[in-house]
Amino acid sequence: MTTFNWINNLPQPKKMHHRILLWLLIVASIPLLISNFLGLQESISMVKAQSLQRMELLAKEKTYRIEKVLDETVENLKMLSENQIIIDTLGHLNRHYKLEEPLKIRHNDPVVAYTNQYLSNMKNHHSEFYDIFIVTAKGDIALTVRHEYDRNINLFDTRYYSGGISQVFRLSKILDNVAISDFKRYPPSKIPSLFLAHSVSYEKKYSGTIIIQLNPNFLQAITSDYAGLGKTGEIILAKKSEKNALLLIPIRYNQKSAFNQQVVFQKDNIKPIIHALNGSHGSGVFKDYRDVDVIAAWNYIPSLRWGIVVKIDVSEALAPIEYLKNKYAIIVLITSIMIIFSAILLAQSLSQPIKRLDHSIRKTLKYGWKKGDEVELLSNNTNEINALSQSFNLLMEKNAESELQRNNTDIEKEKINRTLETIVTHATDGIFIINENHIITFFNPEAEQLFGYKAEEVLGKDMNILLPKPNHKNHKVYVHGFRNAASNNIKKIVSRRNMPIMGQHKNGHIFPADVGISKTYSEDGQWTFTAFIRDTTDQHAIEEALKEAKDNAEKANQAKSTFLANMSHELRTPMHAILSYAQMGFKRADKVSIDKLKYYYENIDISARRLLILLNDLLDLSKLESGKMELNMAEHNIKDIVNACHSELSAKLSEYHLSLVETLVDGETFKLMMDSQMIVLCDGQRIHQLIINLLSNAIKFSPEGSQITVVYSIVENKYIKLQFIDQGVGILPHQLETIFDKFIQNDRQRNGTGMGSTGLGLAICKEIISLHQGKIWAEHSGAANKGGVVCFTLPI
Amino acid sequence: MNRFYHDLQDLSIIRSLIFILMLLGSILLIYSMLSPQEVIRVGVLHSLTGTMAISEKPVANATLLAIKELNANGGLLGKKIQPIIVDGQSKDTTFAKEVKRLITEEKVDAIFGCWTSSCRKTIKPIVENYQHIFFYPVQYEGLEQSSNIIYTGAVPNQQIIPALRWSMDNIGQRFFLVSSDYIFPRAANQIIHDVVKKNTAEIVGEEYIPLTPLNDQEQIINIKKMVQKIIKAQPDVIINTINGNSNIHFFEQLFSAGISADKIPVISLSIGESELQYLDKTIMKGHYSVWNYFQTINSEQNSKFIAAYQQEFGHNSVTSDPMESAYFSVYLWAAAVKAAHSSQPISVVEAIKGHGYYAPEGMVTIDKKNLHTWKTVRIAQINKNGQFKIIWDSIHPVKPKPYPASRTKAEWQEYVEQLFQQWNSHWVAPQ
Repeated sequence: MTTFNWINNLPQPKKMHHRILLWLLIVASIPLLISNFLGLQESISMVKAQSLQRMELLAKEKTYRIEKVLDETVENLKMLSENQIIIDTLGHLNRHYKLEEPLKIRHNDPVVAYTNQYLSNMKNHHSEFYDIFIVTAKGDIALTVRHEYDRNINLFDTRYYSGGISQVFRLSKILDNVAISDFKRYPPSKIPSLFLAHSVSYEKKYSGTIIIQLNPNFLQAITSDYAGLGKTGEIILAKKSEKNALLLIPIRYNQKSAFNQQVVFQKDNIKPIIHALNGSHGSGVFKDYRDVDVIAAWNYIPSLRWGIVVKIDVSEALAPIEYLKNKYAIIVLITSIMIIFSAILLAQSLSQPIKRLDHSIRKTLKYGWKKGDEVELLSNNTNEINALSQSFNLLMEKNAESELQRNNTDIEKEKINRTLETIVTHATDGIFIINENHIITFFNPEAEQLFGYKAEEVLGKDMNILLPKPNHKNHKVYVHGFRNAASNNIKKIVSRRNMPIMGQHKNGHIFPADVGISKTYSEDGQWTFTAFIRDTTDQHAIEEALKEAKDNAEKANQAKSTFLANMSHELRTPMHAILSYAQMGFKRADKVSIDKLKYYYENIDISARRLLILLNDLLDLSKLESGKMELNMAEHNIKDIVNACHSELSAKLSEYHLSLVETLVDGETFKLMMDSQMIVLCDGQRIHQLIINLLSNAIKFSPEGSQITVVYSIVENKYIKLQFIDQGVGILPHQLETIFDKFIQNDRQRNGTGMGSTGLGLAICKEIISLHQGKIWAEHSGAANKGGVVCFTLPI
Repeated sequence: MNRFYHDLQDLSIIRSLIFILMLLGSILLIYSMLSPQEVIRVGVLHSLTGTMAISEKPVANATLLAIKELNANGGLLGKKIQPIIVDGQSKDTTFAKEVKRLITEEKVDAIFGCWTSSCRKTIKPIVENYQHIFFYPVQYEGLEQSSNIIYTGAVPNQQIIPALRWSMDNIGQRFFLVSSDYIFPRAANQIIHDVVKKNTAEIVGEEYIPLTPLNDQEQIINIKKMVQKIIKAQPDVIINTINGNSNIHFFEQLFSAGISADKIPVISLSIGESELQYLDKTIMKGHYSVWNYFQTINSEQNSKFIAAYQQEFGHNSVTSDPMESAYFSVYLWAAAVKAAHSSQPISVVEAIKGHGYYAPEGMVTIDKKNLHTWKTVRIAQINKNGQFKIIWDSIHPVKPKPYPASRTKAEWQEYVEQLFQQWNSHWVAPQ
């Protein structure tokens, strides 16, 4: 089951069709929205530009119509100034009236009556003429068609002086041309009037002026024509009056506004009027006096000093824009729906087969593949994804066929693999694998044991963590070298280098290791290195111990041989003496004297005794060694025992002129403790034997006339310690231990006493002391000739 | 939500969006770099050296002042106006050469300049050839029209004719004409003859002196002879069309001959504030000048103009008619550029037609048909302080009529052509 875990760990497929959908939407919507936005903007600006242009054209047309009426009037006026009837009339007036006095036209003047009739006909012919005046050179109105009562009035009269008619009368004369008055109320009739004047010469002399008063209705005809201005459009004519703009014709929304509406010039809501009156022409979007957005075009009419504004409400002018906006919105909506729909279809058609294929593969991975598990093709279309599905089906089919054949081999392989796995897991050697990059890829349980790391801790790590620091650097070089080496086994290379391989435990402990490394070249072109490693610390210890044991055995053997050689000699020597004296006595018993025989027996006795001692010692020793010696424990004063031995050996001491001295390390303390402290629980016979042995040894090595010292002391209030010090050659340092071994003969130079030894004395002593839970040892007194020191302790 | 978060972490969409935005940004940046902030170049072509420098320098200054003011208010169409100042050296040949250079090499969008009619006549064919726009700021004799020259000075019906008619009414009918001998006085005098013929007035003398004399001594002799003739003729009024510094000699000689304004007043057509500075107050007292603009005009626009000019060029500097014309020419041009949304000469010529501007002299408007300017006519008398006191004005701007009605357009053109031929293809009489 574990093999299927990785299938579950496969990343879940991301929602590809979501992404495709999102991308398609972004990719398609951005240009759609941009192009629609730009298109709409373009359309709006076009509609706007068209409206502006239309207003400009209308403003130009209205201006043209006004100027045309004016120009025609000017032409008419020029013709009138050269009209013979008028010239003659003025000549007539100059001749028949005293011009220095206030003018009084006679009622029955036929010339004036004729001219009046003539002009009145002319006025009737020209609808735009409201009145025609003939003014004398002195400024007297000689003739008017309409306002009879104005006749005879002088234009320099203060009532008229500031009026339009007086203005043009004076100007036309100096300018030698047509003068056009301001458009303002004419005092007598209060009708807003426009006067045009031209001077008239009679016989090369200025003799008067002809003046035309324009009918204000001519403006009405032009400005009340709202053609092209829709429902909200209107025309505004204004002139500058002081700092204000004065409306000259009624506006559409207020029929009484003309000459009543004084608009403050600085106001923001009459900007087009201000622009026009400041001489510019143009168009734009503004707020008008009603605070409504309007599209306005304006013009300046220089001859009249008028501003004309043609305007229309934005809501009306730009109504097509709303229609366009709706249209664009619908287009965007429909296109968006189409994009979304096709994006979904496309995304689905891309992701669905892939999903099916993925599903099939997962299923196959989990449960295997059998006939009938083919990926269903959604269409017969041979597109890439279908082809992929088909390829998958084919692959699986082929795979199933070969599966059967392969199955058997696979089982075998599986077996081998399992076996190998078991071997590796349970191997007594640590096994780990590293790749070319020095990274640990495998770590078996034994390796865990060896290095103290868990496999999880080291997998994927650099293998240097398993090596002592000094080896880190070289190891990589070695690995590289091994990679390129001809041999597949590291052991040869390592042994050639003759270098111990060291490993490092997690706790820092460095251990010697036996390592075998093999390299494997895998198909992906990578080398892997498998290391078999064994801790050789224990092996080392055993080897050492064995070697020591062997040495010891050899030594013991040697001692035994020496001992046996000695023993045979020691045993044979007395035996020889006994046998020789016995034979001599036997052969010569009748020939020799009794004294001689006595001598023979004496010698036999001595030798036999020696033999006996020897045999006793041997017996003792064997008893002691085999543990068969039983101690007869009783309280003894150690001093008594020493004294007993002293007296026993006194003969020998005196023989060599030796003296025995007993001392205390601390005399006072000793005296005080004497009775109680000197009492030791022991086998008196054996301790006696021990002391005899030690004293005998001391005597044996003491030169003649020297002194043997026995020193008593108490150690740690637990033991009594006795030191036997002679003045002989002493014991060499390396013999301090060995002199207590069995069969070891001390190399100490014998003195001349000839006192023999079995070589067992000290060994027996050691055994006795150890039975008493005490200790015996030799001390080196410093210099070799200061004599030997042997000490023992006994528990008190 | 988790999935979305995952997608966010993936960031590929956001990254791509950022990339697209950056791409758009860089395109915009490159686009804006490819269309750098330009300047509008204009030529200012006046004589800064030579005999005309005294009159033309202040005109050039007024032109530059207007350009400076426009630039200070944000320029034009978002661009700064860069004046290319060129010295015409008071020589028609230099003017012709420089106009061509300004158009073809300096690539200017408009030229402001000239003073004398001969200069204007010289550059006219060049400007027309390149379909350019040229602003001429000085009053002149008229009899000319071009679809490439904007005339912002007065024509005869805005200066000479009202002056004559006014003097007939107010001073007298016997005229003596004193003139420099070149195109403007010659044509002006022709017009005066026509006006006088229509009236009972008469011309009792007509004298010419060289425009650019070989030396002052010779000119003074010429002027002395002329003054003798004036004394002999005893006119009611002298109409003066003398140009340049010969005016100083003329008025001095007239005064020393005992003719002061109260005896025979002089109506000058070329004496403005600039020229008056060089003339003696006592000599000039009582004489008249006819212009469209005088420094003494009482208007808000004029006060601003004078203040700005004096701020820039010294508190004692004066403003005169040609200066004012040059000044508002720049503003009219700017208004037309704004209206046309372009500084291209052809577009500007089209846009400037019918355009008006509240100049220091009052409302001025470029006539739709003849590209001359609607201007208010003013007659002023020099007072004892050497200032012009305006004694008459036309109230409203007068429509410009470059060809006086006394003759047809063809007849006037023929007359001008005849003079040109007569003077060996020059606009100044040969000496």
